[in-house]
Amino acid sequence: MKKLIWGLVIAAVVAVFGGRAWWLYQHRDNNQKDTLNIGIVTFRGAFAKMGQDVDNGIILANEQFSKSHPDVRIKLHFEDGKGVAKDAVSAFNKLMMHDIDALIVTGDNMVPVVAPLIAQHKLPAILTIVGSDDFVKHNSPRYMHKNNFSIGKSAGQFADWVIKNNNIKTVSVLAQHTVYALEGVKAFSDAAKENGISVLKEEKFRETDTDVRPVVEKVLADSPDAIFVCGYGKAYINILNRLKESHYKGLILVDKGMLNPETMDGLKEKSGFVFFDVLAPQDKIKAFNEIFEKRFKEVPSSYAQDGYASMAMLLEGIAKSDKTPEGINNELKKITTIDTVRGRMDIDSNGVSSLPIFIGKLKTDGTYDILYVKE
Amino acid sequence: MTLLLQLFINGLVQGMPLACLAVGFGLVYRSLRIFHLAMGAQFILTGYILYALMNWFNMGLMTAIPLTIVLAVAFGALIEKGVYLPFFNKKSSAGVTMIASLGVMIIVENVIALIFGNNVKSISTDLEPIYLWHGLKITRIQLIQMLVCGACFVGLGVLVQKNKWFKVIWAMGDQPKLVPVMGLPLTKIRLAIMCLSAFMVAVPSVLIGYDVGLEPHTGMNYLLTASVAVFFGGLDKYWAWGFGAICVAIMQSIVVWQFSGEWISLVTFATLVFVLLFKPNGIFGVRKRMEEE
Repeated sequence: MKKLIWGLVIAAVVAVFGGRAWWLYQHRDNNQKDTLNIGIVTFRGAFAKMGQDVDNGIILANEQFSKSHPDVRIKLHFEDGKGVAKDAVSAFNKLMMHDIDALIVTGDNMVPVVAPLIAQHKLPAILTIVGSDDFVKHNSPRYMHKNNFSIGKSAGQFADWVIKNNNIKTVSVLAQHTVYALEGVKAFSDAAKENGISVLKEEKFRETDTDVRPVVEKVLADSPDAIFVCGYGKAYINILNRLKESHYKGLILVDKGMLNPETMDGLKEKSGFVFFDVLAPQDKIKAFNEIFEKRFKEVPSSYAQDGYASMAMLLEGIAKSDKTPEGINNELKKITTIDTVRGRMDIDSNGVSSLPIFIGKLKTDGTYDILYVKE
Repeated sequence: MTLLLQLFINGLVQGMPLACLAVGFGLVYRSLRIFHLAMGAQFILTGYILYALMNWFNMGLMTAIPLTIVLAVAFGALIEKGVYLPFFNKKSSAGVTMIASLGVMIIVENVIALIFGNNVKSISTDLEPIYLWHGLKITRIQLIQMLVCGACFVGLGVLVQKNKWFKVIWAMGDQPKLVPVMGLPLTKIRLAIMCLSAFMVAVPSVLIGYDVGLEPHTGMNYLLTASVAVFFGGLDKYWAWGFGAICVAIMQSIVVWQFSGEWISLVTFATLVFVLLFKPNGIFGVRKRMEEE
């Protein structure tokens, strides 16, 4: 009797999964050009909130486009790359089963492994929440088009302003061990050295570090005039808190992650951090926020804005193209300047984008003073 | 030199909470022969219970902490009753029980992420005061961690040596099959071990969570470090776990002196492997006869 029950259970499981696989095969997208399949390598897991915000921005842009272009049918396919390289490949391969015509890749960590696959399949791809410009070395011929600020360029501009407007002779840098942060810190260090500033320490930390005090103490031991920290997440927030806790008298310089809700909630003392961020036009942000809140019943983060801007750029390319991947890619290559909800974005011939930034100083209540604007 | 001393003190301070975590892991591993992966879940769940009590029920810190520890111990009992004991009664292998323990950890982690989200949550919103002594610094919370966790570790160690029932718990690790033979209540002793383990995990969890904040996916890091401390010191001596924990914590802190912080994990596990190559039972490990294994 037990064997019979087990046999029935196994047969039922096989039937369900087999039936589902057969249904998926029957309903696969058969390269019908009236339906464009857009694949999104998104992330959940530890970055779930960030990934979900991006996805919602993409969905909103697509819905608006569908209303104004009812003749163009677009289907979105989301696969979770978990923000991790090995899972990004798996996500990409799953998307390819849907005969993808274009791709959106989210996050710096997944780009290096997905980039060769994009080139191999000759797919136009928009890179979103990608601060690093490292993808350029995989982008010849050009299929990837970044839609975000440039951490390298922005960190360099930040360093230039800080050094010229503050009495700084020495700096130390702390970078999270990610593509984004390492590139940001390198750009900052290079700019500092060009300005004749000594970079005393270049230290790294990992997101999984449980105790950041040793690395903070090591950096503080030299008493630099300024410390630049680049990263995100718990270890990054803890480092900022430890620096404040130590009553460090110098300048604490922070990257674009300062204004993220997660960072602001985690900071125990907010005043005094000098940071840079994207100079987004407030009227566009306000309009976007209203539409987003109406649709998703929550206030959007900057990641939602990034997702929206990325999808809007892709849709602009689709609208002008012959709806083939090569046609879409050719149209995207023509875009050198685009007005996004994040501001006026410039894109060079390598697909590297940049946005204007501002430099601010945080106050105790979480608001900030604008010290400098770089258009 | 000041930096090296500061890093040494930092390691010493971190060693005490790690010693408690090592006890939490070691008790279950030694006495119940279970690689207690669910300890990672206990660690993070305790922190989130404290967060929920303070933010959802508006409890003060001093009221919430004891209640948190009680609930954490109850969770430990639940793991024993719901997972470990059924597998024990079915005479399942250690591997199967370990997988079940991993399952508990994954489920709890993801349920916490579902309820609280993946973003970092803070319990404390104020900077900790710093105490200075000849250029060396320690924060108030570090001092509390060291004293409270140190007291728990030493207190339990004394009980293990002096109290009959704690001696039974310890002896169970040597001869688990003799426990029912001697008419001792095996099920109750197992439950007591899990509750004790949960208590020893809950105390540092609350203090560390208060200090650095909470995230659903950090349990495994603390679990692995605690297990390294146990195997490094030696499985069969209680005080060796504390020694192992302090050594590991100091090593993790001092490695930063000359190397980058990203090598901390590598150095930790490389040291463990090195020690086990020459002392397979740990620094203070006891060599046993074959029939005792």
